[in-house]
Amino acid sequence: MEQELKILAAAAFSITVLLFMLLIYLVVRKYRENSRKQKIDQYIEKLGPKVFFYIQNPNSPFLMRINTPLKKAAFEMLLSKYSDTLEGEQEKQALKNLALAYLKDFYQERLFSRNWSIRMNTLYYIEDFHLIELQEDIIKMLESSRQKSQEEKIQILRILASFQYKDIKKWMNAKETFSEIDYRNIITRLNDNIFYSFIESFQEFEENLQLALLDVISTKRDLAYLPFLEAVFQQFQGEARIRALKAIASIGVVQDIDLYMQLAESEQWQERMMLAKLLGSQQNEAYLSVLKELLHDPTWWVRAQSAESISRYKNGQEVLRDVLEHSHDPYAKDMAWEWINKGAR
Amino acid sequence: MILQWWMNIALFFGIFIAVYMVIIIVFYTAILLISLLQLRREYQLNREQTFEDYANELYTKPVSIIVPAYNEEAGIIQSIRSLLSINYPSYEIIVVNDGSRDNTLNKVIEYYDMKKIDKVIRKQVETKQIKGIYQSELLPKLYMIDKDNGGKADALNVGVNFSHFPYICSLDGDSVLEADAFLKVMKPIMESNEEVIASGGSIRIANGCTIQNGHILKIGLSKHPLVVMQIIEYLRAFLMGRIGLSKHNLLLIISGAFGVFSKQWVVKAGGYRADTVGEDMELVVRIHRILKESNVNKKIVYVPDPVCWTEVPESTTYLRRQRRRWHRGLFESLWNHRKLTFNPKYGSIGMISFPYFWLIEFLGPIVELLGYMYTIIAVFLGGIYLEFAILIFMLSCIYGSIFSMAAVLLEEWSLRKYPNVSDILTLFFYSITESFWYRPLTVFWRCEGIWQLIRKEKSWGDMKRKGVSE
Repeated sequence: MEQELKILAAAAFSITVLLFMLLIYLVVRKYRENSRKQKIDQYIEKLGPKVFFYIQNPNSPFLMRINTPLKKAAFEMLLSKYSDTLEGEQEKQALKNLALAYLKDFYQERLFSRNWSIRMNTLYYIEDFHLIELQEDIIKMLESSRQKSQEEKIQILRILASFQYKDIKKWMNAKETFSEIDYRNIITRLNDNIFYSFIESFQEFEENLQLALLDVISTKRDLAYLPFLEAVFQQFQGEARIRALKAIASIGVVQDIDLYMQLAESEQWQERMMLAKLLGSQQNEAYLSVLKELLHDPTWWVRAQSAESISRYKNGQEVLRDVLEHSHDPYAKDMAWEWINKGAR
Repeated sequence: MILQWWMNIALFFGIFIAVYMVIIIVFYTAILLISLLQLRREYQLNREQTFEDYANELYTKPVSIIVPAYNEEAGIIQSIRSLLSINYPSYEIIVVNDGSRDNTLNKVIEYYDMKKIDKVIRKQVETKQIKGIYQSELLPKLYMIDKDNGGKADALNVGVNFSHFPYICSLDGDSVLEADAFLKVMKPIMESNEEVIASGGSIRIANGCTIQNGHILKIGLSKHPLVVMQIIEYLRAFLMGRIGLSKHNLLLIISGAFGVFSKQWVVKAGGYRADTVGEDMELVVRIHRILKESNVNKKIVYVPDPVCWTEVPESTTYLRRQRRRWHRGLFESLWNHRKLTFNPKYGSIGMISFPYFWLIEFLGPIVELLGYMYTIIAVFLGGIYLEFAILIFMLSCIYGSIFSMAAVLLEEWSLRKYPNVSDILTLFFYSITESFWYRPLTVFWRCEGIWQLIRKEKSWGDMKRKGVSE
């Protein structure tokens, strides 16, 4: 027993010593980092006006030596701050020139750093400063056999997308898949030409990418995509069909509303709601009776959308008042009442 | 003969306590290692940039923020102001006045120019009677619901019924959010394609920080020893415990102070339960249970980034009440769902989480208290008992102080929220003392909570708020 106690005491003691050593390390690190931060702030104050002057007057000479890591960090932070706020093309170009002159080589090296967060931060800055000159390097990075994290791959694809790299599709159709939001973030950066080429290969893509494409179209609200969306709606099942319908509803018009009238009987409330939404832009009083029926739907969302669509009609208020007075369904009456009051306010 | 018998029992008892503590230490070490690996990866990433893409209004999911308010006239305006300035594209704020007896209702009505509106409420969860709904003339996304008093859970349920958006967030009246709080907690939900249905963030302690108009201006350390110890305790619980549990979807607690849930699942679970003191944990357990029973693969996660700053008690009286209440809440949640314990049908929740919460979180204080008593008695008995007493004492130092020291270092190693070198030193040296006064105190209070349970006391005990903001 005594033996065991000694061992345990020794173990506890050595852990404590270890923790103290860690503490010393962290305190030293914190101290150095705080003073580093202070110095960077000083550099930022010193460099700031000069960078700003150059961005305003790109033809003036920029004679600064940015040779130490601290100065580079300060410079990086300054440029990053400006890149968030600058609007004009000329200013952006000036900023990019600065980044090219002082940071390009530095980044080329850092892309292959052993530290994941350094690689990631470098990738972010490459996109911020639009350093298309490093495109070859990041493609090399993507294709190299070195182990890469999912985050790095996605960030590389995002950069390539914002550089409008033509062959980006070949990596998007690879074995491994990304989440919808990652796909969306990549494809929203594409210009119309490349985006179209994605639409053309829609069938070959895996589901997450298909859904992401449909969602992005839905935010574009461009009539040009309507035939494609209607085709997806007719040919696909499940989630893709609903997303296509959502995109159609966001555009708000269809070529032939009669193709959609069957949705009134759909089992899924989302589809009934979309129909109610589409009917809102029809302005054909023949459809008011369908909307009135949908106002009696068991699902709240469908009722709310129907009431909204009805109120968009010229005589919508009368229809709603009619429901309020004559309907036997308390839920439909509640909803009608809410939308009558909405109009009044 | 009888004496011999007693001696054997005492010996056996010592062995039992020692073995129990070794098991706990092994368990926590495992969790600590998992957290370490998880935090290591995100170390030093330029975080703000990763959120840029999510700030896009088109794709983020709108959130309804529910603020239950009961006699909160001191802090309610500050809380609302802090919420109005958060960095999230689309959200609404629903203040639920739970029959306050003070001036909470009129204060909000006047300050934000609230007008009574007519609105249909979809009753998905049963609640107490609603007296009126108000909307701000100045800020249309701010609503207030006035209702009969029914407790916090009931107020939250009213908010759930009223909310227009697919995600809900429950928020304590007197907490301050970081501007990016919602982006941070919603990130796992968005990235996972909605596989994640609830997400919580780290809670940090606001006492000692400089807060103005609902914003943290400067992070600081309180001078109260009791508060410093609570800071360490929170660091330890959030950094070590929850990250590790979250990684394997074992999380049973999303703090009531700040968490986002998918409304659909809250409704499916039947909303918050009004008859328990720990409605936040109870809901998470119930959602886990429904997930397993309906056999769907969804997750509840935890984000290590601190997102919410809250006020903690500064006096022993209120801290004691809080701890007793927490322990009763823990018991009620576990007891209501006792069916899950060691039930293989519920997978790792039944086989790991539940036993962990029963044996370590709930019964731990009793064993620890017995350990203290044993140590004291053994000092007088001497011999082999003394050796056991030393053993137990050392184990409890490892358990109490060393883990806390490690947690403080882990914070400084990864998240680094405290700006000064002196803050870290203070935290570290306070954490060494934990085993000698703070730990025994909280153990004792938690045991009191168990005692209250046995005596079936239902008293609530409220917390005195002085308001964190200037």
